[in-house]
Amino acid sequence: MTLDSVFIAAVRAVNAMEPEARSAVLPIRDVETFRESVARALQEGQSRSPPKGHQPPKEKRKEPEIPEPEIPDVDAHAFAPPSIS
Amino acid sequence: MKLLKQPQAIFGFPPPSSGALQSVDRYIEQLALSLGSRNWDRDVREMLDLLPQVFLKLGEKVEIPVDCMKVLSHHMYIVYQAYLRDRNPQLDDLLQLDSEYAYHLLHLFLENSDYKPYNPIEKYKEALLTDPDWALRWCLEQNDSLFYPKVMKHLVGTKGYNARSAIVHHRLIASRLDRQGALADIQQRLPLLLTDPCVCLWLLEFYPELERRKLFASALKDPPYLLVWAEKHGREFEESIRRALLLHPAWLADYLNLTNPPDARDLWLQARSRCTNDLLLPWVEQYGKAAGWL
Repeated sequence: MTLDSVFIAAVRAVNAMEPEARSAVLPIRDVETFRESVARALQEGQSRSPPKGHQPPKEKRKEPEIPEPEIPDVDAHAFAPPSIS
Repeated sequence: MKLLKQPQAIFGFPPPSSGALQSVDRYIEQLALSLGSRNWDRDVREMLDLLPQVFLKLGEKVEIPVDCMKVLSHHMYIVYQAYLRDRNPQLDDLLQLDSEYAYHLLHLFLENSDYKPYNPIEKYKEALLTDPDWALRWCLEQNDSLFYPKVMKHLVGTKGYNARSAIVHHRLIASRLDRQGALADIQQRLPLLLTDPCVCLWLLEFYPELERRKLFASALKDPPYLLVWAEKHGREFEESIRRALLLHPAWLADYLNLTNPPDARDLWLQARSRCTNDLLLPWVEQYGKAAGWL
């Protein structure tokens, strides 16, 4: 399986981004939007902030950080929300 | 939850009907051969999405265009198979777009010395961050306490625009909230969470208080998820599921096999009349013939 030059250039451009910017352009919902997002992110100098259009709304209150001292168990049920009853 | 990666019934599975395997294999060979000389138009991309094994049969000189990025991103298990076979560094790059397969790559490098990473290991770990669930899984398994603070920082930094970060962040803080607080936290994140059909299925299980119709809407453009909803709440959303699947005849066949509705033939006829893809139509016809509707 071989990718054409435009394809591999797009993939490598995404992989070169900072993780925060990558999180804004992935997953790929449609190719055109994806390419536009990549182009915007690159134009913004691969900044740590997400591309325009993906900016989160300004939060009124600051949520607490997660002071987790230990690595949590990733089993889904360990993360289950409080029970209804 | 049983989530199909590609449709089965339209191709005669499961169980394989007589000659189904040979028939599919022959079709894959023919389509792969033709892709060296024809346009990769919408019809071709639809077929590739339904039978991504075609990618594995392409000749080395055939270059996959960027328009297929979405198709391949749906079927990273095919990319992974191709990588295991060819060790093509391009595919190593491509797999990093998907956290799950970045995780499998990391394990492959740890467990099989025949495969060497083309990039520093830190790059693959960064690729896990797009879906922090995979990053946390890695931290736990490897006891990677140096990576863990990076995962947490990423989670907090991206929870406002990445649905996977938002849900993992919620899961982490929910244990310290009461039920009402946890629900309020979910409600606040809901517009973002509703963009991800996989997250919506998790919410369906853990937050029955949420309006199911909103969660269901996340699956409308995603036939594999529509089938999961059909299995779980088929009656409630029957009309919407059937209407959506009429545009996806290959997936409709799986729906018909799953639910066996009394008007199956009528649904199939409607889907057949709407199908404009000449590459797919012979399969639709074959399904109808096998069912005795032609």
